Amino acid sequence: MLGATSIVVGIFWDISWHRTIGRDTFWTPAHMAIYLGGLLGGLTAGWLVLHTTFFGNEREKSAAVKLWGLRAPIGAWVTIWGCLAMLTSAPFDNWWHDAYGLDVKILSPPHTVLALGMWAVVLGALLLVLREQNNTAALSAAPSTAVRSHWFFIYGNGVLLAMASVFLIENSFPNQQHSDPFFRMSAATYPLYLVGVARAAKFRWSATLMALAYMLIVALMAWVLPLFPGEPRLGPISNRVDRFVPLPFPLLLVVPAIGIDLIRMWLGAGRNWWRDWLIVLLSAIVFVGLFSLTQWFFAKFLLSPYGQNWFFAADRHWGYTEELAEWRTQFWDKAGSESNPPATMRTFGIALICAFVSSRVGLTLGNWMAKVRR
Amino acid sequence: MKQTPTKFQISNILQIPTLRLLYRVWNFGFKDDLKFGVWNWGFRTLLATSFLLFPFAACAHIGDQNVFFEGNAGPYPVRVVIRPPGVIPGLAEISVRVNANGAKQVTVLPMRWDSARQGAPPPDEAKLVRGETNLFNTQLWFMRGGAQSVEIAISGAVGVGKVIVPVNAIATRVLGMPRGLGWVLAGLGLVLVGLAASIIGAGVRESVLASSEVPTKKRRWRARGTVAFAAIGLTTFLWFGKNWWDAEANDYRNNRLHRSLSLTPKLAADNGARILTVEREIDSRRRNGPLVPDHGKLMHLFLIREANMDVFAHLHPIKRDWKTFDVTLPPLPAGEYSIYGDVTYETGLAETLIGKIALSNPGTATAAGVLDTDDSWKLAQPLNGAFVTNKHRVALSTSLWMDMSLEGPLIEDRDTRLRFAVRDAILRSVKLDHFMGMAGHLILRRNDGTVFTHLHPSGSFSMAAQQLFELRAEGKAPLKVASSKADPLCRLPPPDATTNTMLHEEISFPYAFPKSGSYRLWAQVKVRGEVLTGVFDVNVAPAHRRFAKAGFLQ
Repeated sequence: MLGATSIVVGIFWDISWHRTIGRDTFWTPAHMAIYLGGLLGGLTAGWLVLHTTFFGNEREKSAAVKLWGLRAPIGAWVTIWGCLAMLTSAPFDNWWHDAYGLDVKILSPPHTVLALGMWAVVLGALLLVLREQNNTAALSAAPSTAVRSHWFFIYGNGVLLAMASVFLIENSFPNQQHSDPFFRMSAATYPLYLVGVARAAKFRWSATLMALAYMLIVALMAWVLPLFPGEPRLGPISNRVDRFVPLPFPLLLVVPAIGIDLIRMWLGAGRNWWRDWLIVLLSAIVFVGLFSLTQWFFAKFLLSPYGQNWFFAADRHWGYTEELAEWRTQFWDKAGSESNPPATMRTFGIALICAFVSSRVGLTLGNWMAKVRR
Repeated sequence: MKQTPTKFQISNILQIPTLRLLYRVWNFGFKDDLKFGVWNWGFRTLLATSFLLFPFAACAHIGDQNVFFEGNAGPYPVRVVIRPPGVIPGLAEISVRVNANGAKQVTVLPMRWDSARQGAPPPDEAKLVRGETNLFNTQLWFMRGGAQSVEIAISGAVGVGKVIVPVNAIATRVLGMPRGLGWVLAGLGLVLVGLAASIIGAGVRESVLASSEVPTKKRRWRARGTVAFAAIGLTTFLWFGKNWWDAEANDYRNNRLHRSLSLTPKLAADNGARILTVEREIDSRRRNGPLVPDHGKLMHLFLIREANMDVFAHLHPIKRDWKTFDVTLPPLPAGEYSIYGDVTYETGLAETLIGKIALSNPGTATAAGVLDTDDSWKLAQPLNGAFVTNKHRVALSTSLWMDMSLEGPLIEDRDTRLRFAVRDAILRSVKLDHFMGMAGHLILRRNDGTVFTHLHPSGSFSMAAQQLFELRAEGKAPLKVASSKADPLCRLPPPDATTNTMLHEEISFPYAFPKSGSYRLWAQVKVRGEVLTGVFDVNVAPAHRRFAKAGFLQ
């Protein structure tokens, strides 16, 4: 979890670094935080593999999964995979910069490899937590370590949600929250965690707690980063910032998450195929409905003078290349636009399908995670 | 700041025999590959098979991006070389040699045409190169494409001196993947996919079992099925990745990689003269504004006969409309000609437009009396790559000679200075007139046409671009440009009348040949009102054979 925290802090810090200072090297503190997180996870998992395989007792060996002749908990394998993917992305990304220029955007093939690696490192840590959680008694009778593992699971999912939100950030600025891609991409991503992975948590309000964890992480970064001074070291400079630039205020995922938790409570805890499909269907509808309504109006609020303060940070998430102009407080959707077409009824129809598929995949994953014992 | 090794350092390393052998083996491992689409699916996305690094397109020149400046920064005589990045955003390398004592600090400041000084970051300090006393070096990021400039400021015993050098920030590089890196990435990719499929299989087979519980046969088969399914999923994922990579590579090539715009020629007859009309290509995505005159001419047009460069003309067409220019052709003999049109846009971006034309025999066509007084043409012996002479004295006329002096052998990418002087019949030095705002012009082309450059004694940049950047830095010109069809918003000052009266005895051009091979040089001067052209052929040696020191001449 320390590694996961290091990674998520590093990601937010790095993006802020690029939008504030601009110039960076491999050795920036933000990069170090990301790689430290990967390294912590990788070394821990590597130690688990070596220990379980060569020095573990029979109980430890029998509580591990066998892979390529070695033994370790499934979470350790996933983390090792993530660490390897992160390492692979480094030379790939370096070559990419030489071939096509330094990235001025987040989404690129080598960054996707890196993102998958970071995601897997955190997912592996979550699986290790789940292993502990699922091997203990029910929450009411659990010892303190088990309670801690339940909260770790919630926190880890908050980290995963925060990482997913960063991956979508190029389409998630408040100004884009009336645009078609924002709703489609959000619907394809967040239900995976809120509907699906939340199934593996032991809390009644697990989706709500995960959403709150995500919001707290993102909001903390939005509040803390601007406390540090920083000035652009690259030109052309259109906006002379003097503080670290944060990412926008988090999405209000807690609203659809409450709806999803209520549906799950209403349908009961029993697990069978028809109940799962009903949960998926209703959750998708509730997610798209509540999320769209909430963000539609919350984005308006963020673009209004009420959002221009330290708490909502809507006046300070603009980087050094983004000039001060009216477009900062306007919605960017425009008919005919390739990048920001306006949301229509078709958008919400597609979003519903995306949310349905995402929820179904997530629930399958969640059902498996709820049973992970090795 | 981290600095990349210079050629000097690499060359030194290569003097160690074992390393030299390794370097050569490594070099032979490279081969051209421009096509990322050779991978059909799966892991082949990571199998980049070769490495290619070459200047793909043109700017103010063909096949040569480096910018040279030789002149004064206030009280300090300086020599500046800017090696722009091959990709944008990317790092440019700046070297400044201060040819005077007392320079204490050298800073460099990037300024883009539309943001000038107010959009510039804090200047970077160039560091003194180890072992040198007056050579400073640093790197600068060019974040956006288009017309850029670098302001060099020198502080020292006699105060502060500044000079602005324009440079094109354009992507010209197509980079393949080094074979070694390709194999490493492919290997890692294989391990990642294999491990992912195995983890998924192990997850289904064992992860939900209680400690010491043995997986049933049914569960094992389910795990195998899941692995197969996962393999299909991972392959599909890689297929999407490959398409994405292809799309990015195509976007780079089609939209970001610089391409030379073309000149479309047409020939017509008018009163016994041959009129060449050239229409310049317009790319509406490049908003560089209208053309501005560079040393008094909107376009410098060069015609060079293929394939052995025995005929050369330097003409100055007249603007007919925003796209079209006319010029009366001198009596050039029949043949296939390459056309190069040097232009500068209002942003400060300088470009060489390219075209081809086939000329028939001039017959009785004449150009007498209708040519621009600065127009000129020259017939010479064909260049034959196998017998390039490196001759250092050529006849300009029956009574005038031109000498070329080199400062040592010419070596690829090595900084040099090409000097020319005109002698009379008894080899006395002859005074040179001012020729279009300067002492002379040097045009050079590699025998295969991959390099074409137009140099001035002050360097290889457009002087109009320098004027534009100076005006904008002083706040005397708008940070916007007119539309391509309109007149420029920015009026450049007329040439300085006092400099036009100066006479010169010798001219020199700072340069570094970007590639080895055979080159033809046309050195143009004006003597007693007549434009004279000296034609020289030179061979440039590859850098890695001589292991020569790259760096600056004193």
